[in-house]
Amino acid sequence: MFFQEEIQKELRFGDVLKGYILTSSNIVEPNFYSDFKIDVKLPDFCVVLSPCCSIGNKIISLSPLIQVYSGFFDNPYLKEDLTRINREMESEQSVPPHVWEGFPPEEKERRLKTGKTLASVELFIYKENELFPEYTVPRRDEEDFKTRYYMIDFRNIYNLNCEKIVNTKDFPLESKCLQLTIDTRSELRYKIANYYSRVPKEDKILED
Amino acid sequence: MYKEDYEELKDKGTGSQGELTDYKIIVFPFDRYEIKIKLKPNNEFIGVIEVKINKDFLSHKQKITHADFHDVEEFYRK
Repeated sequence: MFFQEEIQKELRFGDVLKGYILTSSNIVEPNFYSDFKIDVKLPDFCVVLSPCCSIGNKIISLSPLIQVYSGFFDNPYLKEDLTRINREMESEQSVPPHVWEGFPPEEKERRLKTGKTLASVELFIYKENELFPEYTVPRRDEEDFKTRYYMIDFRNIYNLNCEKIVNTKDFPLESKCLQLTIDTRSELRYKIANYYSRVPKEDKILED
Repeated sequence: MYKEDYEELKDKGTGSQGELTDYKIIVFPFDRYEIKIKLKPNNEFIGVIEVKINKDFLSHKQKITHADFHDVEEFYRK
């Protein structure tokens, strides 16, 4: 099960919330006197990305739920269950069959050497739920269809100050919509930990 | 020696009594050790076969340094 059937009255890592604004600051270059723009939006839903032990003190890390890449549906392995992108998979499962077949032998060999591991390490997909608004997935070779799958992108995390988020038990309960099961929360924790723990090649060489 | 006698002698050989053919062996991780235990088909405990040290000595730092991921973003982001 992806979501907990009965949600707790506590704020947890991975919870789906509503009613929290999203702000993003935009600049052309890092100069105090240059123009800047601050966008303010109200996403339908956002996800708590503060670790459970760090929720409170009137600040929270969030990421908006966004529509999934339509390209994921080109991969039959993922199309069957898009949340498979959250877990480790074999190299051949990580790309659509026509892409795999198009790789030259040396590229296939390089990818096979990687073994079973995570793909799209920046993304975590949320399973379809009736609370989520349906949207159309545009298709080229078949009829467009609708889905309620959403995802978060770890490159799009923001902090929000909220007076009413005092601790995990003292927060606006009415804003909590869905809670992950313990297993799914572990998957999210594992994936975001891997996202942050990637070591660039040049650092690997220096460490060896 | 007749074949029947040989079979009887073999069956009564040291260590052959009580050797069940219908059992399963599972490896049970415990702290730094891996314990291999023998169970009946109904999961009744028969005995411990082997205790060995878990050889997964890699530290977290070593694990993440060696971690690699499927590089697939370009095939999905349109």
